[in-house]
Amino acid sequence: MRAFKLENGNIKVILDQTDDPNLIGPTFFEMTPEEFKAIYGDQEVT
Amino acid sequence: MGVVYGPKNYGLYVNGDLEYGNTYNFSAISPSYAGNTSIYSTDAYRGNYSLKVITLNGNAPTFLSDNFVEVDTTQYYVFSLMGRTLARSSPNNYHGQGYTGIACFDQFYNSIYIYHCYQGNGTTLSRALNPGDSYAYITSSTGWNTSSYYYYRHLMINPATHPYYSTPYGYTRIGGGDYDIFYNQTITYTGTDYRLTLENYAGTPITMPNIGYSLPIGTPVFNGLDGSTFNYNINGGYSTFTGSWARYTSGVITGTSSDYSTAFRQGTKYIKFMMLPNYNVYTEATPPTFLLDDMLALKSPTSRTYTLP
Repeated sequence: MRAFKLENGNIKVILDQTDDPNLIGPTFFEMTPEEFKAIYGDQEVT
Repeated sequence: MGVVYGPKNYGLYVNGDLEYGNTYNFSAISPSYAGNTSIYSTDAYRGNYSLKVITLNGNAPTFLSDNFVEVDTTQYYVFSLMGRTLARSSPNNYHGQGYTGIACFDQFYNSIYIYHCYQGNGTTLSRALNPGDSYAYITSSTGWNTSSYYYYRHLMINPATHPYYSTPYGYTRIGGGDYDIFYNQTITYTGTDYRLTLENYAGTPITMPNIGYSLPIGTPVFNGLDGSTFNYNINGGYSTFTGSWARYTSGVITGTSSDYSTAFRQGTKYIKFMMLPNYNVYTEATPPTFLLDDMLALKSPTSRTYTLP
């Protein structure tokens, strides 16, 4: 899982088969920091 | 003549051959920084110019064409590009590479994700679903995902009276997009039907929003499963560019379905060229630099292959 802070303050999360083998290809999500914390806890955001 | 030829030389991507001599239509990588795409005149596959692509280390960039291309999903399309590595990475000496294909958009220019596409698990509401309800009841749960991953558990709805999303098991943004509605991974059999507990992506219970359309018994619903933001359809999805020019091409793309190797997504009206440059080598201190040329979207009324120059 990769997580990057965007200029608008949100976080871009990218998942692929290395995170979840059922994913077809890279999958992007944009969420607020609060939403990110609710799902991914304290995982690193670069 | 079967093929529709586009601006400048051929194909539907404006300036796909870069012969405008500038980065028109291919200027934006997001997140962006100065010079991530630039015109390159020292080497081109064909003509005088190619596109030089540099990625910023670690930012997982997305590269979309600036312009939308209107498509007719009853026609047959092939997507193609030429690529070659200009400078390999450091320290691991990787070639330039990336996922390549198209991004699909609806008639209102909304991005279409794969969870908007029907994937064979359609059923109907077994009870009316009203604003404020905490549960939705469905006739069958066969094929409905119960994993811990929220992005596989969209409840997608086709309201019969909706002007755009009424086609049973067709494109809809009710459940993902206009209204995000997920269901809890525990699906309860009541003895006569199946109860879904409505929640948001984080697993917090929600109630049914007022979508403005009634949802009586019999309303078609399906389980929307995410899993691929774009249609990675060129060269089987991922290309590694060697030091010599080579062509990378999709299969024939027609119709709409969740199969991105053969079809557009349901609801597609427009597309953009798409690439995730250097996706698998993003940790390199110096990412590889590569060239693109002849980015093509070819349209034909019949299924055909091309012998491209």
